[in-house]
Amino acid sequence: MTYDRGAVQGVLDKAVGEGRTSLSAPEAKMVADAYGIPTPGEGLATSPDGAVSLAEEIGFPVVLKIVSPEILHKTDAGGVLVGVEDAEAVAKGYDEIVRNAKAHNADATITGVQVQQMLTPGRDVQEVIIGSVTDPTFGKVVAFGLGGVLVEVLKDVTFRLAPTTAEEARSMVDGIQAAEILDGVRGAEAVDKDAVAGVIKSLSDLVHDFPQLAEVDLNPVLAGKDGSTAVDVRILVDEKAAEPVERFTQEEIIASMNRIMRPRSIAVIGASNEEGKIGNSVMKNLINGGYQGDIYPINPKADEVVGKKAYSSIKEVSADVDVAVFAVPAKFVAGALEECGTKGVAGAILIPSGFAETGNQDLQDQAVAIARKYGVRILGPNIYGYYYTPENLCATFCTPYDVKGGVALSSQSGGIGMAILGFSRSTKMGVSAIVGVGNKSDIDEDDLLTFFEGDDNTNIIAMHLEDLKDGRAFAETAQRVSKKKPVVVLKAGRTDMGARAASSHTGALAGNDKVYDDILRQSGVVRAPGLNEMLQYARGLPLLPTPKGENVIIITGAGGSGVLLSDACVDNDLTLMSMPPDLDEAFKKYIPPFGASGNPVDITGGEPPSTYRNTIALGLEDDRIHALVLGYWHTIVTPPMVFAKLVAEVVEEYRQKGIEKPVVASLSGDVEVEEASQYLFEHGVVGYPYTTELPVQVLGAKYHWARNAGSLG
Amino acid sequence: MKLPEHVVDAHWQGRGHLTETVAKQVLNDYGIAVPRSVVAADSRQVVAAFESLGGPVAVKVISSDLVHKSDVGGVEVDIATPEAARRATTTIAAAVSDSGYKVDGFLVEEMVPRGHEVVVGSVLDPRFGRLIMIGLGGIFIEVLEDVAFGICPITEVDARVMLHELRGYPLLAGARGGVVASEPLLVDVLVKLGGEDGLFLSLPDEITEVDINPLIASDRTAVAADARFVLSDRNSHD
Repeated sequence: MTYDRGAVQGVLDKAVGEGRTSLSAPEAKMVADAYGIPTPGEGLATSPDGAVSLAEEIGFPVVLKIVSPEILHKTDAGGVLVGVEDAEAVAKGYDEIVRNAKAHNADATITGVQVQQMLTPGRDVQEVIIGSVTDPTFGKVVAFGLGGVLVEVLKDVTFRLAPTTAEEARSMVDGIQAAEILDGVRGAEAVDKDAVAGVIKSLSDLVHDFPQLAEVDLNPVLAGKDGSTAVDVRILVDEKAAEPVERFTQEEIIASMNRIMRPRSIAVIGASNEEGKIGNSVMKNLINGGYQGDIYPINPKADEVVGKKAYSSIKEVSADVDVAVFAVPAKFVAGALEECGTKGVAGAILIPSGFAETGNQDLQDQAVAIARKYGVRILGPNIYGYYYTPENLCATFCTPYDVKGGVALSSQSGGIGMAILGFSRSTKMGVSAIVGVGNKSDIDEDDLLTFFEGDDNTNIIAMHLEDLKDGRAFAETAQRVSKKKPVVVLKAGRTDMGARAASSHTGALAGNDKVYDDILRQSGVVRAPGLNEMLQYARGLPLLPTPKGENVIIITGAGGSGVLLSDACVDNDLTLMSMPPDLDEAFKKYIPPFGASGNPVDITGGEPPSTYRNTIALGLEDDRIHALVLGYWHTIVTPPMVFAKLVAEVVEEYRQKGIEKPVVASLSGDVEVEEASQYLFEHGVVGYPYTTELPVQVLGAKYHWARNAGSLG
Repeated sequence: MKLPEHVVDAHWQGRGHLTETVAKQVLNDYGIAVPRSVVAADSRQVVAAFESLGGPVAVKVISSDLVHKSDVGGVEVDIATPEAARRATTTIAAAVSDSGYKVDGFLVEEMVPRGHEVVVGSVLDPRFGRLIMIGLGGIFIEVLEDVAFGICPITEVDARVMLHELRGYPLLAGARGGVVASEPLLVDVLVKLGGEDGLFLSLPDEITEVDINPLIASDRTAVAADARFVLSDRNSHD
């Protein structure tokens, strides 16, 4: 598809030159034409015969409209005829509306009569809406939904970042709840979905090429088997919508983040000997956490803080300083930040509150301006600090954390940060980093993602966020990073309707969480429904090997768990393998005659450890099976720890043979199943007590990630 | 109300359902508004019926062996003139006979005022007994399966809760500047059907399914435009 950019530019120059913020209908049609977006056929006739030949060319029925600069309200003047069915009626209609117009205003100049193709939705023609808005977070976003009541009442609409690829555009057409309607229900003809996707793609290219097109509404678009036509095109223009967002390059981000996460030296601004002060906690945590770099307490009133030589100003420190942790009240931040800038500090960790979160936006903007001037990056303000365990770095006022591992976490809120810490400690989760981003005045999630992407100590990233400062940068970074490492996001504010003033249908719809949901999915992010799930995904995903295909089987000792596990599999988009007869026979050999074969494999309750062992081994052995879900039931014959140990053993045995499949387990029983679950986790099996949902959710998250990353089988 | 007799009739005539005329009569007996209608034997009587009802009508075939009338061209709507009524009769008779069904006569019915298409139904569930269901017509019920169920008897509160459970409820409330469907009227219909003294609980077990589709609901009326009472297989001869 080649686009006529010059034509669009011409229309925009004229509109902007006249100080207009919206395009007229003919202008909007010119823009649509230039990008190959079909609109109803139309033309200007200056005689009845001319109208007839136009109508014959366009196809019946047509609409006739008087064109006269003096007549603004055409309908009032009797200047509009709809549903004109044939040539004779067109000729008569032409004369009729010219006559009406003259009767209405004898002095009117009659330019002619506009003949327009008349399109109406019907059994075989569906009304859809395609639009674009400039989202404050994500920039240019395209929307698609079924038209009329469905889009407004059910909000059955889907979003993607513009520009979209042809595949993404097509996935939108298939992605709405009522997509079935487009395939033709109750004997209606199926709509040409590729034509619909084509319009979406063209629109996304249009708004990408001309960002000053703030909102575009193609509503309705009539979609049928022969194509899609935008009946009404509304375009709002806003030069501000074209303003580029300031961004750091990937190299700049990595250079700064490397110094911040792996600092050779740290200064603590406001370091204190006084128990209970933040400046005291930070000092102790740095020292007790085992940080090996140099620590410089900055305190004009002390010679020594927690056993380290103190300096009255960071300027007094002769060596280079990579990171400055601020433990002073907000009002002292700007002054100290200037000094850090002069000193060439890479990162300012602003723990204090009293900035934008309390309405003090100016103070925050001032800090950011100083940081920009010197090339300092700011973390925070209003944070607990950050941990990076490979460097034994605990630059926080909390408590040191020392279980090293591959999980990197971040939180926008301090409270959630504490939950992350508590959960990690309680489950002995191996962590590479925990970072508070707080007000995100500067460093935000895409900076962190960029660092963790290349960080060999990190193999999964989990982030709690309330908003995104630059959603497009995040989406682009996440799309890249999630190909290599899972990115789990807990987005708070899911139900916030965020009623925004919007002038178009698309704009009103874009105000809800659906934009986040669709775009996070488009970016390959695994969205966690709640805090616990985010933490469990973070803990469980790295343990599970990437599945090689979609076939999941359930092996269960409890029939009841089998049914619940099956439900959970369906809820989490997992495919329960339909059992081939030979495999079915093979399983039957190990289970009692009254056990049920098929999937789930019900080995029945009273079975000895060997039955669990044999069936699990078969599940690992047969290469048609790609993942195992185990349902355990507490019995005297096979107590919880016996089960846990045999599972760990058989999984390890196959791992030695080079066979690795994700195995998750649901354990039902008395409290001993808690210990058994922890044992399983420690041996690479995701096991949970008292839940049939969570193990399957974690497996579902692994699959979700693997499908998006293209690493499944 | 002589429902068991109608059931026996249908049974002996080998039909799996009550005729539309009987179905509407039954609904009318329970206080549900149905369109005024006249039964006509031929096109002359259809025209007379048109005159007597005075206004746009629908003409529907009466056939003892045909359930889905509109699928074979057995229904014509929005008939505005006597001449159109006469023509519709001929067209319907031809279409229905061509499809191999009996033409027993014609039902001439006043057109129902515009409104929302609502579906109210009932099934006899082996575990829960008599259930009442409500949904919005068209794609809401067919594609989105947007329906709410209740166990009979239901109260007014139950009826209101069921209505509000529908995802398409905002439409009934007049979303997008559309027609408002009177909620009190809909609640009234639901209770008359599914309530303590309602129709559904008085149905003999031989009637396993009821489908009032559509019930046309506007701000002033809720009219059952069509209804089917289905007899269980073991009680019919076909």
